[in-house]
Amino acid sequence: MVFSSHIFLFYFLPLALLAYYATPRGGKALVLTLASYVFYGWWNPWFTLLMLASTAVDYACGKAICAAGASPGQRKAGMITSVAVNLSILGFYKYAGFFAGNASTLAEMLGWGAVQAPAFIYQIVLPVGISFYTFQSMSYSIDLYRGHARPAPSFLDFACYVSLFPQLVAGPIVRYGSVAEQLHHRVHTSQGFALGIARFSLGFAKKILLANPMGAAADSCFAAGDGVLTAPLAWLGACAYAFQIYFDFSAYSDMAIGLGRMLGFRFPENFDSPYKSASITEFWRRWHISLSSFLRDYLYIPLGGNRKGTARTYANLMIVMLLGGLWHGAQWNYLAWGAIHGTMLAAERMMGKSAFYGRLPHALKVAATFGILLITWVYFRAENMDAASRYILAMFGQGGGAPESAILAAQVLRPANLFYFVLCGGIAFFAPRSVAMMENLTGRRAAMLVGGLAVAVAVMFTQGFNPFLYFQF
Amino acid sequence: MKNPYHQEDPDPHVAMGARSAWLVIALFLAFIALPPLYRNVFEALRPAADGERWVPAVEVFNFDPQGEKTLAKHFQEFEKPLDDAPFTEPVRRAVQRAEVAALREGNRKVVVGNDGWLFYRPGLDALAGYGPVRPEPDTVAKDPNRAPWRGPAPAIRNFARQLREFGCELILVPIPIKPMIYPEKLTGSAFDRPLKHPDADALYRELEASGVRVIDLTEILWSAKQASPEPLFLKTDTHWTPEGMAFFAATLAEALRHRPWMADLPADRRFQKTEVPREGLGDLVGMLGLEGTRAFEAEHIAVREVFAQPGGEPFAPDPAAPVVLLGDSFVNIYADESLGWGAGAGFAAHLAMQLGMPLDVIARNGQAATGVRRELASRPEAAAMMRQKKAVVWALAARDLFLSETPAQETGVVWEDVKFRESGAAESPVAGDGPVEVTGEVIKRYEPHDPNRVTYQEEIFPLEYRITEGAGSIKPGDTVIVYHWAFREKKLLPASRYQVGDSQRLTLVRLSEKAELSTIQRIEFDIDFDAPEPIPYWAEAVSAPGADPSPESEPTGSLAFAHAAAAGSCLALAALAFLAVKALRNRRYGMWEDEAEA
Repeated sequence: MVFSSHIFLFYFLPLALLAYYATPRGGKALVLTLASYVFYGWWNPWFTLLMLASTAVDYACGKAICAAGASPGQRKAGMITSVAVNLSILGFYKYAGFFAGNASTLAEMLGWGAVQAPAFIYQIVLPVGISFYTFQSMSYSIDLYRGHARPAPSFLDFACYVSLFPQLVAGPIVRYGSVAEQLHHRVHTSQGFALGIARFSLGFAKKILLANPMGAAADSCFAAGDGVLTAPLAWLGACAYAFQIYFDFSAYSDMAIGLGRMLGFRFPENFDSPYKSASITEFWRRWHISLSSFLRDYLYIPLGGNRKGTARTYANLMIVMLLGGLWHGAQWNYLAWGAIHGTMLAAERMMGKSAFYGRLPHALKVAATFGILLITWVYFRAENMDAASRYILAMFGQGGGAPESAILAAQVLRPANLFYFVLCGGIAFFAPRSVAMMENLTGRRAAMLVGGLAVAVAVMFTQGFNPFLYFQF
Repeated sequence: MKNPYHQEDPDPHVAMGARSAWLVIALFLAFIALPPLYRNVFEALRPAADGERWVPAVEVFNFDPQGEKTLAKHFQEFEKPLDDAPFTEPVRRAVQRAEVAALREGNRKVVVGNDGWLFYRPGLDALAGYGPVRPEPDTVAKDPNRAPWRGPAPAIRNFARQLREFGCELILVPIPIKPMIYPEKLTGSAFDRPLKHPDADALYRELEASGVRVIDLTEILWSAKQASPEPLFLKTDTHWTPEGMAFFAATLAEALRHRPWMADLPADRRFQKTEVPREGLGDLVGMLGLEGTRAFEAEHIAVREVFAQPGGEPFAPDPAAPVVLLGDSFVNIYADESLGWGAGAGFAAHLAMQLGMPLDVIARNGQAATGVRRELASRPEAAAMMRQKKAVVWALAARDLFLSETPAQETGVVWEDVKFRESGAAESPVAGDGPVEVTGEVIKRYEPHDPNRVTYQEEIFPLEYRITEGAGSIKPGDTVIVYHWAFREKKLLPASRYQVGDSQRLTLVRLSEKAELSTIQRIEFDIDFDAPEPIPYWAEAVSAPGADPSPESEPTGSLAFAHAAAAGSCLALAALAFLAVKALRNRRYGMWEDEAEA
């Protein structure tokens, strides 16, 4: 189910809220878990079994890790089992086709002949949100193993944590430790509920009114035929995508945080005006914070972080970003995206966590960082490496010139799009972050945001199906 | 226990009192809960079209675990009519009108150009998007189990080869679309040549090399535009004006006269044309959902109706003619009333007049890529019939040739091979001798399109029934294919919800007798080209078994009671909610801890 859909807004949400608040305190976890399974099962009911299996394994592993009298070896085995099972699930559904395809290509290159994987490998459908909930579920066992959290008191509590529908399919990635307390004791206030409504409405409006129009402009540029894409259009297309992915993903986070608030939860913030960053290092402190902190705590630091010498630090940064890229998708262009970010982070680390253009005035540093990000987003958006390379060449003048470029220009530079470009730029570079917009929220401002929600819903009726970008990851 | 990685986020201070907060909550809950409540109560109480009540929310439980449909598919189907809720329509229309007026912004189907000119968006994709030479790349974001995409070239080559074996020539005529001839109406800048997809010439060369004769009249139409005082395309429609169409017909006829087989054919038919004024709004206004508003001015045109001489009969296709014209809505416009510009003055009539000979015509709106070839190939004894033909002139919007996978799927363009039927027609139990009433159980369902994702307003679709109670020569146990309305004016009709296992009382006539349906968009049923041609029927009326059959349309009559009851339910719910919240707050219920009034 998609937040920005008729079924969610007008059927699922009112019924879920009604059931939740009509249930006494003791039954709320069950209601929430059932609602979350319905929410998730709407895509494919069979995938709820997968989520249930992952949940059961991690819960059992948690039990083993925290069992009274468990030896260090048993504790470690419990943690490793949890990580192995989750990564196996992720590996099978997300990476089997990629690795099989590349193994086949490699075998041919090495002259070993054609090695064909079974056809079903290439037809595996990726369960929505699997990258998010496996990470979340796995973090539970790791935190228990490290002694950073207490085990969930019941399977229901843990199942509720893993499946929480507001943030289940696209984050923020919520670690068990940060919501463990809230699973038992949440304070429901009318002000908190109203705050949640305001945050949800803000996210909904961002998605429909900003992300979707920018997405249409980006789609036109990235789908341009040979010779059609001129350099200015290529840059504009990359810019449109940069705005689309930011407003789409941060909108989802806003809606997740808002829905959580309506249910009495406080989820971590996921964005901090990332395009205001003056370096790539700073960008990663502001972008998809729950993923970057997850990778830092569960990958970078266990790899040795910066404690094992300079060379190892650079290598660790590169490994983390490559795997971060691969987490987004099983394609070489995502790896390229991660490699560029890893290289930039290593280079900036070499220069004392400052960009190589660090001596420029702040505005220029922000502009330069945004320019680098635009290039990296091309690898993220393009269908494959070939398409990304052609797009990058077009950005540097090796693309179009065909008169048909005018058709593309007319679509991208429509008056409405120009308006949205300016609006998106203004908000991305100058507006405060979402959570700051909620500060000192008055009833009038909250009501205006609900009005914004109504406008966005009205516009949604004129748009088609519009899933969130991060659903595909 | 403290998590060392715990993220500290600011917790915004809420500067509103409990009363304000409750007002915001009430506003929000009313917004999300009352529209669906209103709709469900209204649907439950409105006069039913087919003797069955249909309550949207209840449909989610109407799932047969033993059936062929998966639960995920059932959920998808459940969602479709929700998106189509009646209360969304006026909102959609108002928003679209405001967007057009304030920002000249269209929608997913229509781009607003200069001076009131509108453009069909897939047409722009077909000029500036991926094409047949460098196709759309694959990506992990696409469904790995989707049907593999086939571009146009293999299907065209195969069709040409089949025709060659019959001694028949295939002539492919890509019809230039509006942005190719009038790009300045979109971009505002001048051009010194028509626009084409960058792959166009390469594709045409490739087809010519494999024996397909391609007549590309784009340059000639461009020249005509420079010389013509009248526009060659309608401002608010996807299609050409009568002037553009007539010029194209004359030019194509001239090109056809040079084909070797023309020498053997008599060009002795005489036709006469009569100019008739017409006015209307184009299909693009309908795609914007702004028909019936004053957002765009009506266009005034003069069509030339064509009559045979002597006799004065309106032009009619001749299935025995040696030349077959296959086409789409460019052929049908001015010949098909449903396109909004009247009949009797279409492209086929003008081409026949120019050639001075009869034409066999198969033209289906939006289905020139495969549908028309399928219809030709599935005629009774099609293979034998084609041996009598000299040529197939396949005139289709150039757009269809250059759409890449994604926009092609969105517009329903598919390129499939066909096989010419050797066998004759199956015997018809209802051979034109009036309607018969039978009862049947649905045994196979073909999926209609989502009306919000296609460009046309109406669609018919087939269901396969096993007859349980026969009449005439339709016996119990027979299997028949019956067409129903899927949607009209974008509104899904009851038959679109029939499921396998449902029983219906049907009044059947042969589909071929319903001439008015011949140009309506349709879902094709599976054809076995090696078996006798099945006779598809049209469900003239449908009812639950035992009830009186009623025509397949939305019921009319007073809906006031249903509206009043729905509104009353909303008020009642609001009152109940108010009382419940008041009670909850008084008891505190261990749940609400309102902060002090700010």
